Amino acid sequence: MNRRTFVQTLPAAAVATACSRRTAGEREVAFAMWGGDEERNHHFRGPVAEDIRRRFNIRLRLVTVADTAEFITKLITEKHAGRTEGGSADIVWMNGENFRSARQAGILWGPFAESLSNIALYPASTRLDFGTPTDGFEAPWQKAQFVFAWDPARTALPAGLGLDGLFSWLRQHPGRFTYVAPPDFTGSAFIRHVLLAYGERIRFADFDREFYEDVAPAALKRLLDIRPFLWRRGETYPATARELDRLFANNEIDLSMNYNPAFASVRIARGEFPATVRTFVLLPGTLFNYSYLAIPFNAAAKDDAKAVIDHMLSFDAQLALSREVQSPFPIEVSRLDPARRAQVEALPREAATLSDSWLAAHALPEPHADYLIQFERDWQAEVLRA
Amino acid sequence: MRQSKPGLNWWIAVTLGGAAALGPLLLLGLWSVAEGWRWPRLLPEAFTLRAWSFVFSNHSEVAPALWNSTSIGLVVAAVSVVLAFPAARAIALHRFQGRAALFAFLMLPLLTPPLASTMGLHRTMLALGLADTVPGVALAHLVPALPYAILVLTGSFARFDPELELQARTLGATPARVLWSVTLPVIAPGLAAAFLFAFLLSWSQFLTTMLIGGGRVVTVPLQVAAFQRGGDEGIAAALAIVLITPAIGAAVWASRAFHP
Amino acid sequence: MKGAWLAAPAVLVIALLFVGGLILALAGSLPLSNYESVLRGSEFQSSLVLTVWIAAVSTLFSAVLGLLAALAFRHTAPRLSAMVLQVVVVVPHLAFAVAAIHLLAPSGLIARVLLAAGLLPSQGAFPELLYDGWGIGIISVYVVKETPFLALLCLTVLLRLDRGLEEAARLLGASRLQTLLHVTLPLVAPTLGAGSAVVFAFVFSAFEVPWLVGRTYPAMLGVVAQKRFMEGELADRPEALAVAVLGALVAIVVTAAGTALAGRRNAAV
Repeated sequence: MNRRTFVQTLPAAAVATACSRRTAGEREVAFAMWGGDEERNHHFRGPVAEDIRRRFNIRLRLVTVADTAEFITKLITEKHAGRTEGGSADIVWMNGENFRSARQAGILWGPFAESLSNIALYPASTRLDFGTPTDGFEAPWQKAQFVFAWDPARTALPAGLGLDGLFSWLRQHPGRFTYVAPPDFTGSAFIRHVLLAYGERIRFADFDREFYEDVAPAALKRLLDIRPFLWRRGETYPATARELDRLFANNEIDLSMNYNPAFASVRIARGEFPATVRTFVLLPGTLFNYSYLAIPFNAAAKDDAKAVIDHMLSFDAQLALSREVQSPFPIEVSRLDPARRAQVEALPREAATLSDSWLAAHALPEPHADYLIQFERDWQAEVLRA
Repeated sequence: MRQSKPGLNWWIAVTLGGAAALGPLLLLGLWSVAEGWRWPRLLPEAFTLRAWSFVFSNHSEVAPALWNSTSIGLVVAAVSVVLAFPAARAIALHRFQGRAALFAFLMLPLLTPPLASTMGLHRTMLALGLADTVPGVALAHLVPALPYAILVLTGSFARFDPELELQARTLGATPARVLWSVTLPVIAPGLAAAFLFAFLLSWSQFLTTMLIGGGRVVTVPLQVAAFQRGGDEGIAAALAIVLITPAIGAAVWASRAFHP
Repeated sequence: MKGAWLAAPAVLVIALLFVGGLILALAGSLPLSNYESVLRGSEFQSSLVLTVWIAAVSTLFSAVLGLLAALAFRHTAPRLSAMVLQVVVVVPHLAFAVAAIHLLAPSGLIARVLLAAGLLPSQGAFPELLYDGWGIGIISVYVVKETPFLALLCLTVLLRLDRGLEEAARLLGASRLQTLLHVTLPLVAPTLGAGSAVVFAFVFSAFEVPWLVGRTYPAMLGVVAQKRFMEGELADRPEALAVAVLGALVAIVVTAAGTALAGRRNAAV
């Protein structure tokens, strides 16, 4: 438990909310959302809040959390303390390990997702969250995919790069690549790609310990083999994705990576990356995942929360959000009528953001969460401390 | 006291000190308005007010954070000084068994990593319903602030001559009058220093506010940390300046108003 | 005994808020087998060594530099000097950690200036000052930050010294250095000792600065404890708490020893 979710790799700022100033009679729904970029926060405080107020007469209050795992811990502590009412949030954005620990600790209300009117728009595969069945306790909301960034103006990378290609490139350019130290989610995602290269059977399945013990040593060995060719000879790793970006922006390393496909565009807009930076995915694909919305057991406004979630899952809301923050459009496009499909295809994307179709064509599903934990542990024991 | 002309030693020390004081500020200031300050540029590519206009906009919610940080800081400082005053007096001026042990006990929070005790405190706060509240956070801030206040005031009281009070009593003053007209004025610099230290400690608290406040009580350090972890260099720098400037102002004011 | 009761409110507050919290944390770190596995683990051992090293070096440098600064400021514009020192003391450590990254990184400002001046052939030639095995980056931040703190402490004492003692020593024929070593220093020593003990304890249990500017492994104890606590499974928590408690114990022992030593020196005077 206490895994950091992908949302923590989204570009930055967790701006905390003010104490609520509730006007009499107004219903309120508190949405615990991890940081996200300012565009996302802005979008929610502005157009989305307005929309929800108009439709439901509900005030949407944003509770930006710095770390979803910490928020889950808080909920667990609240449950132990018997605080069954008046919780700090009515909707929580989470996935993966965080969802699993939340379910195990019994801190979620539900099931509710199957009865939402918009649930049919989402693929059946979303009923598994990193291998854990959602059982209707969370509703799919956003989609993310792991991408790499490089600057073609200063680094020449062969086209159609796969993991093997990347590793041989590393050997030819020692000291120009590194990854964030697991168990940070960005770093953990990178090493997971190495593990994935070893087994088709890893995907979807439950944690197969025998299988893991078969393939993990080879994957770890690969990471150990490239260690001397990493930045600082693999003796130390950047503590955060942000530090990785800083190294990349300042030409200490040649590649960066992130779970948000739009991360390079955001940084270009801020002036942190040069405008020539572009993103790519490794062939045959990179990890993608869905993130979800759930309702805590002690939410004060469960029915209102459900209504708001249903609205957030709707085509219009998703279209607007995807346009604003350039996140991959999460609804199953094949389930839309041609007019709507056209609207999706017309979504603008910055030059440094890969198209939704390219991403979807090179997408690998996440393995079961237990592979995550175990591999992170083994990485720390074998590769970090070598 | 004899004042000599500034020698080389002094110049070196002041230059280094000034550089250390101003360096980070200058750097942060530049970062808060910089656009495209990458290797190998000595200065940013361009300047922008993006970060600052965000900080001053409604969305950044800097104002509520400033309000929280200030009000909590003032309360913590006041309570710390009120609690520290008698304790410091006892330790400095009274002789009793176990005095050293008492002092060591009161200094404990200064010597221990805050994580362990704060997590434990959080459970108590939850049970009392104080978690996620401003009073809860203020109480948590007392833990590092009070010992500091005691430390400063003990030093002040150590230099205090009880004779002054005795003389005032002999002249017929009531204990209250003695306190007000004799003790407090003499101890005033120490009180101010203790107040300032306690305020600054509370002002810059991060871990305690985050754990006890649960993200609901927002203070300026929390915002700085969030943008730090998250990524926007410019906004993080601007917020850091918002965090540092009042502290510097308070320190400068205190050092001018009260001689060290 | 009456005097002791004056301290009662303060004692109550600290007992409830701090000791109570510590006890709960201790309770959370049991059973004792956790301590065993932590102590046996190579991570704790290498972390402890690194932490003691960084804390000791930082404290030593800060104490020496702080004392020298106080001696330099003593006779010259002490109020202005004190103000400058106050400003540094008041700025949070985080600001200095960020400044350190921007200054000391191979792509940082110092390297850029050297490059522009033709003194640095390339980024790769710049020494690795951050994230290194000796903790140079971490030590720099703490030395810059804690020197003014200790300097202020010493300055306060020096300004209140009875000059008579020193003047008497000079009259008796002692050189400036002898006066310094045998008269002035012993008078400053207790305060400097106590201040150094606080600095040591503070650096020992630090998190933010070593996390930002330090190596991934081995990391300082504060980082190990906090990371394990925040990033591990719930099942990891007791061990994380054990690390925190152990760290606290070591810090207390060392600072107590340091304070006792300084106190004994005081008695000798």
